[in-house]
Amino acid sequence: MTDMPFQIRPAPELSATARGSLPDAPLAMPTQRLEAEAGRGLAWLMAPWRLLRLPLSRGV
Amino acid sequence: MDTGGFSARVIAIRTVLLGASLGFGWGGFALFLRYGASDGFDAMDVVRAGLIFVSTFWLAWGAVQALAGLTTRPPAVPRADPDAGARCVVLVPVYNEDPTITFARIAAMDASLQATGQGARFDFAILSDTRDPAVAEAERVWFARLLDDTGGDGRMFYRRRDSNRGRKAGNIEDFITRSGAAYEYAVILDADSLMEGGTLVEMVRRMAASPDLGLLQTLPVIVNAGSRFGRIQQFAAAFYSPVFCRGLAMMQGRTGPFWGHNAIVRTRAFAESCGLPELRGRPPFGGHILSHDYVEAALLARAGWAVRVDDDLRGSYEEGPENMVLHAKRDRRWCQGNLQHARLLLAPGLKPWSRFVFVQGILAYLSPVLWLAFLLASIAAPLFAPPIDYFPIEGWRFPVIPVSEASKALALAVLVFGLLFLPKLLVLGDAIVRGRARGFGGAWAATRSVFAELLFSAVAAPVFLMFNTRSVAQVVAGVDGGWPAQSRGDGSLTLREAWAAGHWIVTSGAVGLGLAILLSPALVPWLSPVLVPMLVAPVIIWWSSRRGGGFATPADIAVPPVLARHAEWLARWHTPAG
Repeated sequence: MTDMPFQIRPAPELSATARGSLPDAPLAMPTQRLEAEAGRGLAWLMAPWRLLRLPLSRGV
Repeated sequence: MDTGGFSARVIAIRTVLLGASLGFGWGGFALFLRYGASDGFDAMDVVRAGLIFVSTFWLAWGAVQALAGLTTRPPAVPRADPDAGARCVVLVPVYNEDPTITFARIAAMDASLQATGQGARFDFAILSDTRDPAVAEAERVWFARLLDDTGGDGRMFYRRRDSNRGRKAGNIEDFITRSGAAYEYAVILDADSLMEGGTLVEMVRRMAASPDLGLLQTLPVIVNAGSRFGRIQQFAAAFYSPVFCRGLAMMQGRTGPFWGHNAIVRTRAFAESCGLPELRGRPPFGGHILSHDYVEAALLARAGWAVRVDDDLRGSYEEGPENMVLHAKRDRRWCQGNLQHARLLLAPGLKPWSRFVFVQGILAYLSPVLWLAFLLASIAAPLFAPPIDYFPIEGWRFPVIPVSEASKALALAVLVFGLLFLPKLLVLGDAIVRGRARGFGGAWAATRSVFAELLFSAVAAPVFLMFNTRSVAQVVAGVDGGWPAQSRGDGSLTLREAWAAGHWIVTSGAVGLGLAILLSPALVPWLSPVLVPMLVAPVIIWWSSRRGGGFATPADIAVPPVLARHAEWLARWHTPAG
């Protein structure tokens, strides 16, 4: 579990009311990578096509 | 530790249900091809059969989930007392809502929590993205009142962002990066959510028992509906959704759903997995991720955390739209959000089931469009049909009359209507046999409500089909739907307002009827269940927005304690001090 004592402090840049300001206990939230790189996506899409073509090219 | 773990059983259930749905789709495809080929085979027959395949598969997918849900009961799940220092925050994002109503919900939940004896573990954080300065000022005033009247200093917090960057997902992220380390768990709500204190405590206990559980979703029940439309939706959600949800839970493995609210997350898991990027390009497909909940569930699963819906958890409530226009407006946002997920289908590292969930979301909005395309293709089909050849055999002097395949069309209609209605009727039968119908006023009242709901949904379906199609067209055309505040008044509309919202549906229906009479007069009776509701769409919209009764649900018959508390707080705050 998270064991981090925290204190209450106003956060003026957020227009918070002094009474009832959020606890000051930051936690990093790294941005995730979600979009496939163009090359990889294309390769993934083309995979079935490549599988179909493989025996033919061997035969020739 | 069992967190509804991924297993051969889950794979088997998914395979059987998907296989059955594809089988139904194939059945529809084959029936239609036989029917379509009776007067000669052409390209339009293949197009229509393809549309039938996808649409029937989608209908069947919903139906088999209901059937699956009827066959099992929720499994026992582990529970444990959390560590003494493990704290939980209840997050209440707000956006221009009436603060008295929203804050009264917080007061009600707080009182409910204190009554469990576990209230000291919980804090509340009101996360305001309100843009309207007057509402923002009211929020400050009523927050002070909330603190005074509940003694909430030190456990109730409020802040308003200067910019609502990232909308709700950005609002939650802002909280976590600022205060997340103070809490082991965070319950994410909507402004209209209500949860019993006992449910909140139970959710924490379930999270504590399963250290690899990143998110636990409840099934919210719609409450407080007053209009005819609202009450029908409320009944349908209370009566059918638990069964559909059970079916969904059978297939979830470690990749269950997140519906954006009435769920608890492990703060650390959420923080390390769910920082959402802005997508390249501009809205509607680029920019902020609108339907962030599905994506966050997929990201948690990608990072190895389990995501689970526990359909046995009660005491979780929300409110729904009170008229068809508000429903369509909300659906417009969801449509854009789900279609935007097409950008994420190939996102690196996602579980295959997460990708399939994205496909499901996309299909949910494309399927009605495909039905409409099928209807239009059917009207236009005579233009493409080859002339009938009565002398197909050379030298044979007698005409060969093509065999009628009308029985195939009838079989297809039976298949489609069976997939639409049978699951609901089976849910009704199950509710009567098991006694669940008592919560809905008894067997007779539940039967009456189900048949009235079936009738209304059949009449309303063409109207929603048109709203849905327009939403998809707007998104594909690159028109951003924005993020309008949801109106949550009594929702009643005048005929003039209903006409303004639905006149284009009447025009579309009239054009469709004209084309059908011109091109395929034989189809007109078959198309009338779609065309007639379109022609009277404003009346349907207006009638359903009026105040209504009936459609009793368990929450009507025995008001849940937290709803009663909410009503008490509202009465107290709306009564002038004297």
